[in-house]
Formats: sequence, C-alpha cells, structure tokens
Amino acid sequence: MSFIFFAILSGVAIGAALLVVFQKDVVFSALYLTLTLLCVAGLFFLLSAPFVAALQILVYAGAIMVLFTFVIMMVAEENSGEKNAIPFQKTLVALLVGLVIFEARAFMKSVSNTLSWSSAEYFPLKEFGRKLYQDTAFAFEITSLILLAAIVGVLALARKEKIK
Amino acid sequence: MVEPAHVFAVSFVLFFIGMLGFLVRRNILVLLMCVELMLNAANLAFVAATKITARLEGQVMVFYVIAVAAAEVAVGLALVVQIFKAKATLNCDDLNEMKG
Repeated sequence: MSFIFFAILSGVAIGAALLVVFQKDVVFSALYLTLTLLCVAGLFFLLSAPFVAALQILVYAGAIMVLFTFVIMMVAEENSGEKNAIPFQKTLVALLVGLVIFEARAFMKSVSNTLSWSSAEYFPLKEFGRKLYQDTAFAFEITSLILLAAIVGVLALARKEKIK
Repeated sequence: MVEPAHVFAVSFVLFFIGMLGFLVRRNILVLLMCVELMLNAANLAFVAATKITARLEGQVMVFYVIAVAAAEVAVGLALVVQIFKAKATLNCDDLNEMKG
C-alpha cells in the first residue's frame, strides 16, 4: 500500500521536474517546481521525517517559491501568459496538489503500530531536538549568522544608489 | 514499506533532471530553480540515509540545507533583480561583459 503512494508521489515529482525544465514560460516553471517540492515533502512523510517534511512545505514551498513568484512578477516578460499552457493545465495542477497533500496524510494512517525505525510514524522528536541544539549547536548559531548575512546582503543589493 | 534504494534512485533522477535543466536553459530564473531542484534531490538522499542507518544526523543536515538554501535564494534573486535593472535581459548569454 505504501508502495503505491511512493510510486505516485515519485512519478509526479519526476514529471513535474521535467516540466520545470522543459517549459517555455517561467511562471509555469515556478508552479511545477512548487508541485515538485510538495511531492518531495510527501516522500519525506513516507520516510519517517515529518518534521523535515513540514519544514519543506513551510520554507521551500511556502517562502522560497513565493519569493520566486514575486521576482517573476517584477521582471515580467511580454511573451508569458495563457497561450503557452497545455490544455486543462490549471485543473490538472490543482488536482495534483490536492492529491499530494491527501496522500501524505492518508499514508500516515495506514502504517503498522510498532514504533520502530521500520514504521513511517517513528520520529524521535526529543532526540532530534537534542541533536539540533546540543550536538550541532555551533552549526545552528552559524546558520543564524548566515541568515543575518543574507538579510544584510539583500538590503544592500536592493537599495537605491545614493551618491553623496 | 518504502525501500531506501528506490528513494535513492528517485533522488538521482531528480538531480539529473536539475543538472540537465541547469545546462540547457538560458533564463536565469529557471537556472536558479534547477539549483533548487538539485538541492531537493540531495535532501531526499539525506532523508533516505537516515532511514537506512537509523541515525538522525541526516534529518539535521536537511534542516541546515533548507536554511542555507533559503538564504542563498534570497541573495540570488536580489542579484537577478539588479541584473535586470542594469541590462533589461534575463538571458544568461547576454551577460558576457567580463569575457576576454
């Protein structure tokens, strides 16, 4: 049963990745990349990683793709739009996104009751927190510095030039 | 039960598609999207590795990869906006002022 979910999720992920690459319109590329990211999040659910799956949906599909969409809107080209779309594309994409979200949730209900590394629901959150905040605490702090550097860099890049 | 070997195969195919797109396409935004695709393929491989070895370091690594990728995308997109303001093109073939 879980193999069917895995097959559908990975098939949709690979198909959407191919469409990201071979699509003329950059708006639809961003849409298919979001679909790929959601499928990969579903695969994370299947692999006993619900924390990383939620992080992927929130950060990757939720923040990074929104950033991409903003920039695509800012640098809008003239030849993008509806006429490049395949038929029923919007319906297809909506169905696929709904399917992915449904599958991730449906799979979590269908696994065995033994909590071990062989079942998909086994995720030792306390140990994960310990690894994150104790074993790799230095990398955690350095990551916050990386994010600070990114914020400062983006502000410095996006500022209007003022010549004094 | 998901076989980690199959997940590694999917990760390999996704990485290959991302690499192919990075080499073929000329729009800078699509290049950045292919980089994200390659990073996701690596994340998938890390999570499959935690399933095999039953150690959580793989998922911790994915946490850091997602955080650093977010920072990198922000800076990369700011650069793309500046390039577009300066040259009004998104074709990477037209950005050759440093050549020769």
